[in-house]
Amino acid sequence: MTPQTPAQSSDNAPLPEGQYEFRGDENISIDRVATSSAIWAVCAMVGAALLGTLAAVQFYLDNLRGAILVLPLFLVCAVAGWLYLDAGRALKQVVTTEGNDVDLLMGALNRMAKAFRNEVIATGVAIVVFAVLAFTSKM
Amino acid sequence: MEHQDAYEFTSGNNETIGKAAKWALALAGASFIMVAVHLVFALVGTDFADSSVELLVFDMGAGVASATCYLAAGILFAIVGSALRRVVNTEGSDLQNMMKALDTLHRIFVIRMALVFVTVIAVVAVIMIGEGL
Repeated sequence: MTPQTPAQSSDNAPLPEGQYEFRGDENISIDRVATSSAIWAVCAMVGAALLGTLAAVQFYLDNLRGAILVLPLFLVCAVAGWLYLDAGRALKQVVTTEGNDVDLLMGALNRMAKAFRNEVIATGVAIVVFAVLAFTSKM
Repeated sequence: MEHQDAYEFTSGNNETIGKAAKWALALAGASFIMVAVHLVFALVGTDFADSSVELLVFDMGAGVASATCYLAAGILFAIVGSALRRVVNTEGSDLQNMMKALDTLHRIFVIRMALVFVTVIAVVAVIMIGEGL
């Protein structure tokens, strides 16, 4: 919104405009989010691996319809896992590096936004599928 | 603390933060819709006429538990979205709002991991009950 005020690094040296060095307590918060984001990414990837296996098994059993139903879930989990892992990595770099904290944080937020968008679309599709399944099973 | 509270993100940063805020709020809305979907499915899928109390609890329990988790996630995503939006719309406390958003994000991940853990336990329990163990 407005021009940023000059920031200081951890050793109190002035940083260039647009730069900010996160401090101890802020780094602890960022590190926690980085860790939980990475763990959640692993959960999503394990889910993707299980769904991928299930899709392959369905395909092997000549159940193409089953494989096609599982495949989108596999893709959603795999993409979410990748994005959250990337976001976690960028957040970790905010903590471990100096001089580029704001850019790295913005990179992480950008990936988070993509992951959120991915989940919103997946939820919308899931609701439509639920509704169609409920409607067709009633008929 | 003075330099910390005075820091303002640039307009380019604010664009990225605004995008994250928009999708966090959209995800909050989607989570609230999922609360309703799970509750409706729990009610529709339960046979009230011919069920024992245990079966009723079993049938309703999964739906209500999922709905509760989605409700918690929805509320937390709304908090994340509004904190990020405040970073963009207000001046003077950008970092404070950003830290609040990040702390809430951490809580969301913890809740989701707990949900996965509970789901795995529930699936194992259902299989064991089904096998008569």
